Amino acid sequence: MKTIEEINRKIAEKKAVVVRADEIAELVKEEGFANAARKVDVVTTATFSPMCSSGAFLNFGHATPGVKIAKTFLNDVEAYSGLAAVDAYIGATQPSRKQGTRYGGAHVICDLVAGKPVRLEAEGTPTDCYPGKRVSTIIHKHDINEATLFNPRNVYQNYNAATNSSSRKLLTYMGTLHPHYQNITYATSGRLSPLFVDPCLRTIGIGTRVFLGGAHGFVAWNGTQYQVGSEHSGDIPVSPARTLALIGNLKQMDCRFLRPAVIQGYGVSLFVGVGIPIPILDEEQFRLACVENDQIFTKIVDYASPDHPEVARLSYAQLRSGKAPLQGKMVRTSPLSSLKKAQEIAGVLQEQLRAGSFLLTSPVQPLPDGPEKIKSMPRMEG
Amino acid sequence: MHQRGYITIRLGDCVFCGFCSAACPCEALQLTPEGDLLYEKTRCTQCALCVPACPVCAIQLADPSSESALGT
Repeated sequence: MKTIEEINRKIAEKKAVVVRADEIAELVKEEGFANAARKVDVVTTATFSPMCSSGAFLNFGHATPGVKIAKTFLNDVEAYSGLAAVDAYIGATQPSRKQGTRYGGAHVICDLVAGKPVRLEAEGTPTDCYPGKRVSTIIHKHDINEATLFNPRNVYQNYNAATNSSSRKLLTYMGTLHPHYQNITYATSGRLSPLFVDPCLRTIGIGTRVFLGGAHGFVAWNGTQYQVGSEHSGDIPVSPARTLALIGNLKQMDCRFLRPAVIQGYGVSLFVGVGIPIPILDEEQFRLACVENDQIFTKIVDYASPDHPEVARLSYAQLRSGKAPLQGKMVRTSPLSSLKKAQEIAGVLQEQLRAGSFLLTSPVQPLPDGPEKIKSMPRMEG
Repeated sequence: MHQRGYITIRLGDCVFCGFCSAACPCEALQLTPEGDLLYEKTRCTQCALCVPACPVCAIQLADPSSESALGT
């Protein structure tokens, strides 16, 4: 049994034993389970996926004369302005007025991170205290007071894989789905994914420090669409379950771990790189961290039907192999979440922990043990 | 209009997500179990459906006068 404080002391002394989640099996093979469980202090996990539930809160600083901004456009992409006078929230999926989905909020966010100039055009509602009517200027990340990335939802604990029973090709946020069950797409880094390694959130809660887009951020709250009652196989749900809301300083982020995405037939999204350290507090935590892809299952659902019925269930070992059985034949499987980038992030986090530059935090509050199931939108009457 | 032809993949821009692999109807583009991108030119039918499917614009039509391949 270890405590976060004990592990942090080892991290500060640069003596912590840190392994990536996908390296555990090899370690256990070499050292045996019990020895490895005692030896390892932290397991690093990561994910790099398109996450539409992303955006950034910005504070531009006041103009002279002051303007109470009512409408904001950043490089021609609208940002929500129903906040204080010079605050705005730029959502990742918001398309440009002129370019449509070829450029959107995710591009604005990444242009800011890259230090590029961004054109701010804003209209105000004149008041006695804010007499100005409009603003037109160029901003850089260093010119504005705050830029805070906020994911209302990220780090999904499992996600249904997709297929298509219909006779026409579907272009979806789950990628291209060829007709007649010709392929499956899936979106997870499998055994590297944080909420597979700590499935009951024994160590992750509000206030957990994480790697977010290249900076250090925090778990702010449970993510939206958080639910705990999904069907499980072993310790792990077989369909979407828990999620995390994440927050971090956009100004400190790195374009290697935050990338705009244009998903054909769907629109703009943002690839967000997240890494979460899982402290190995006891043997049970290590047992959970030893999960392998053949123990993690997901539902394969049909995107041709509006209610996305389950048509199969497969393990991530099967999906990761490139071919998997579906409707009596072997079909192609494609990931949409980058394993390579997730490995890179888990490796960067591993190095930071080994070098003493990333300290663990104890959650200030655990994440909730409900609801069992998320709600759907009420049907419209009439 | 959709153009056909061999492709060039700029690996420096690629995030190894797999959207291209899902779009490819002839299995010329695949992600290996280790997460690397594999392009088998012999399987490629030059449909170039992977070009608009790439979410980070890392795949482009190759110059017809040059050999297509994985780029850097």
